[in-house]
Amino acid sequence: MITPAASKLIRIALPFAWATSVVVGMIVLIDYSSAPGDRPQSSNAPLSANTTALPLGNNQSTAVMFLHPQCPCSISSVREFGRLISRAQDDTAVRFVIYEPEDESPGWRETELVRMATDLAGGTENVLFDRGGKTARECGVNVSGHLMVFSPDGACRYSGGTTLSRGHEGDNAGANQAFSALTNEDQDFLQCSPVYGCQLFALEAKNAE
Amino acid sequence: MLNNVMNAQSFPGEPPSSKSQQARGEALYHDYFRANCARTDQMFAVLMFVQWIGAIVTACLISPHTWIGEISTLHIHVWMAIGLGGLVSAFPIYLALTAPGEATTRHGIAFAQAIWSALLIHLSGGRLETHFHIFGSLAFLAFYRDWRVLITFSVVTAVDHFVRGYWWPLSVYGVMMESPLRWIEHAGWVVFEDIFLIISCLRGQAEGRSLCDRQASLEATISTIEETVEQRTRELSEAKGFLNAVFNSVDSLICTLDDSGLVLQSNARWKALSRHLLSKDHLKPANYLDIANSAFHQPPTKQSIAEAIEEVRRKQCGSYSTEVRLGNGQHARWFQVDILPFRHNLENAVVVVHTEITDRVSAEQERERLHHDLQTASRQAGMAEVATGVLHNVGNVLNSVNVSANVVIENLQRSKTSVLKKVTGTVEEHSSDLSTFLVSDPRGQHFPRLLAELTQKICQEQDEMRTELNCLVEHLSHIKSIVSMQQSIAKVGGVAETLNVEELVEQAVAFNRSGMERHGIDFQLDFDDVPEVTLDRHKVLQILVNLVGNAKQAMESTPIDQRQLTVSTRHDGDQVSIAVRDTGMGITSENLSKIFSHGFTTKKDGHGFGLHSSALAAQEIGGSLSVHSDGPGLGATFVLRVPVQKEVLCNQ
Repeated sequence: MITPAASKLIRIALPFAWATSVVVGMIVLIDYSSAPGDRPQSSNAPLSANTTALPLGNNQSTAVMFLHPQCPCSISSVREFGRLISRAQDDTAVRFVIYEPEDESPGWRETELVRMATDLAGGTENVLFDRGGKTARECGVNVSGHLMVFSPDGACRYSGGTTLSRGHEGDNAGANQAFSALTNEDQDFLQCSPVYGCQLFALEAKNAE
Repeated sequence: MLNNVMNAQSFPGEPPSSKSQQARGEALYHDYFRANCARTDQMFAVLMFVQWIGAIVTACLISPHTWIGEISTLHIHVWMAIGLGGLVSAFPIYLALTAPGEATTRHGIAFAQAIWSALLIHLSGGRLETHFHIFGSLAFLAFYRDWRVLITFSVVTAVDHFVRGYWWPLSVYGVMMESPLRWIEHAGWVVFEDIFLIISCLRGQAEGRSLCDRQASLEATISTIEETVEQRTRELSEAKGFLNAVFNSVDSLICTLDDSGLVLQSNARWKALSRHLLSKDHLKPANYLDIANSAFHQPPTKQSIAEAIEEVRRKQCGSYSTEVRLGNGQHARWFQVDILPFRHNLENAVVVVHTEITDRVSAEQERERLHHDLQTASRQAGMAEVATGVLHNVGNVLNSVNVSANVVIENLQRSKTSVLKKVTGTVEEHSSDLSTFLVSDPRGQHFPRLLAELTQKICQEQDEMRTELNCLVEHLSHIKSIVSMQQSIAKVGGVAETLNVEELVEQAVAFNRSGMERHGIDFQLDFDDVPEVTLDRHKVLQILVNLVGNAKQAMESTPIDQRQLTVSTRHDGDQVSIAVRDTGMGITSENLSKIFSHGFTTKKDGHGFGLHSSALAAQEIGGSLSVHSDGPGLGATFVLRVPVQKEVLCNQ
């Protein structure tokens, strides 16, 4: 039996409890959006493209983005990447490495993200389907939306994301660093930033291998 | 500002509301405001649900899964859309359903809507376009017409921008680095819109209050009108009841008919009679003409009721009245039927009023029978009266006849014819020596002178007797006229003729001349210049003879040197008066009033008929007879007034 006092207390407390729950939910959502994927282990990051099977351009800077074809958050990454390319030099070679499972699933490649990537890369010849994530592993990449910028001599100058949070476009430090790596030929150091997106493969599986 | 807006909504010349009316206006506005808020709560409840479903659908379409290699799991956005979106929407929906119109509900909805704006802005990465959700939500919240709700929404939005702009600027502005004061700019734009929306809310409240005040005024007016209508209806009902009571209480049987004779309305008495007739005669119901034609018996000379109804209806003026009989014999009932135009909105309608006159008709029949009996009795009494009149008047004249006859007898007795017989005997005796006798006998010598004197005497006697005989003839003629006049009184009317008043008076006096001379009465005639009159000669003569005769008798005890009779005539307008004044015994005042009554007389051998019949005769010729006396011993004056022109003949 609820007493009147208890009822009044409930009427007052319930809105506060609800508002608090809503605010907490919002914080959780924002926090999730702001949480980067598992960071690549820098020790595994290739310092030179020459040590990998990455399809680099000829005597030109190369920007390579790793994508999971089903990752919704990577659409923002591709769009930011596109803005980045449009702002950078025209002779930048654009490449995409699309993760593909070992056993090819029907329709795996036929996603909006793949089509965007193909268009941005200028054709399928610049898109590499990475079966089993072998190339990504070689490069130490395990998050979709990961961009790597290589100088014409094949040195990696940037490794990280192009967004500041999951699925959020907009000005951010990672994109600026990537732009700097593309446009500043004199840069001789590697810059890294978090990547926000889906994982290309499970870390446990990688570790098991 | 609110007062100004409200004043602007007032009508010029509108009387100030009473306190109760103001209170009613407040109550109406409260209900109106609450109903509007409840309606808006429902709209927001729908919006909350739609936003929730929209968020889920959007999450499912854009980011249904998150991937780790080939393994996908439901994206956290989907979970958040379901969970967080449901949490944000559920509570305001609950409030809208359980407490619509409450302030808590709309403020809760404003809070939730601000959270939805924040959520959308965050999910869109702080896209500028998504911020329009805030302004749209503010406009929607303005539906409440409660500016406080806008403040709640604006405060939540400002706090959200401040917090997220400080810690997660990318979530709200879409950029990594932003000035910590940018939230003020965003809040400023919200305040900018708030200003207009608050004005709109206040104006809406003012309009609502004005509307409710007018509604209260209208309700008051309607209430007054309804009360008036109710009162008038009650009065009308009472008047109708009263009229119905009167309608059904009157003795008359009343019905109204249309142009085909159908009974439109009728009172209880007509209904009862018509039911009786219908059941009796098996007539078709409610057609008055059928009832009238079959049940009513009219006098044959009268216009039929159907024709009369048609005529009254056609003219719509005037009326028609007749008497009808219902039934026969002892059970017959009589009605007077009055047909009147029905002056109402029904054209060609008539009102038929039946008034039962059975008692009156019975009384009339009884009266007619009594009148007949009375006529018979009157005739018999009249005949006796006529006989009395004849005897009286004839008796008066017979006195004169008797006098004249006595005069003749006396003359005959005194006649010298015996001397003539002796002269004749002497002549026969001396017929042989007649000449000697005449010459030598002294008696014979006296014969011539004797014969001459005898002749002269006999001639004188003859003249006197001729005169008396003429009087006798006059008296007999008057007796004849009296008899004729009495016959006329009894049966037929007399004949009017143009008469000279002076001649009439002289004639009347002549009837009594010898008597008056014998009684030593000095009589005088005083004639004015009067016109001729058109009357029944014998009636006037009868009156005048009576008056002169009475005057003569009234002066029998008067000393002979004081006996004076004066008959005078005067012209007075359209009348001629004839006054008979005597110096006789006079009349007491108490007898003046009954002197013309039948049977009243002061004479020992009188019958009390003479003056009575004279007064009646005066009335019959259109005149009058009056009397004046200064008292006993002072004489009396009888005045007969007759019209110059008798317009109406005595025909009764």
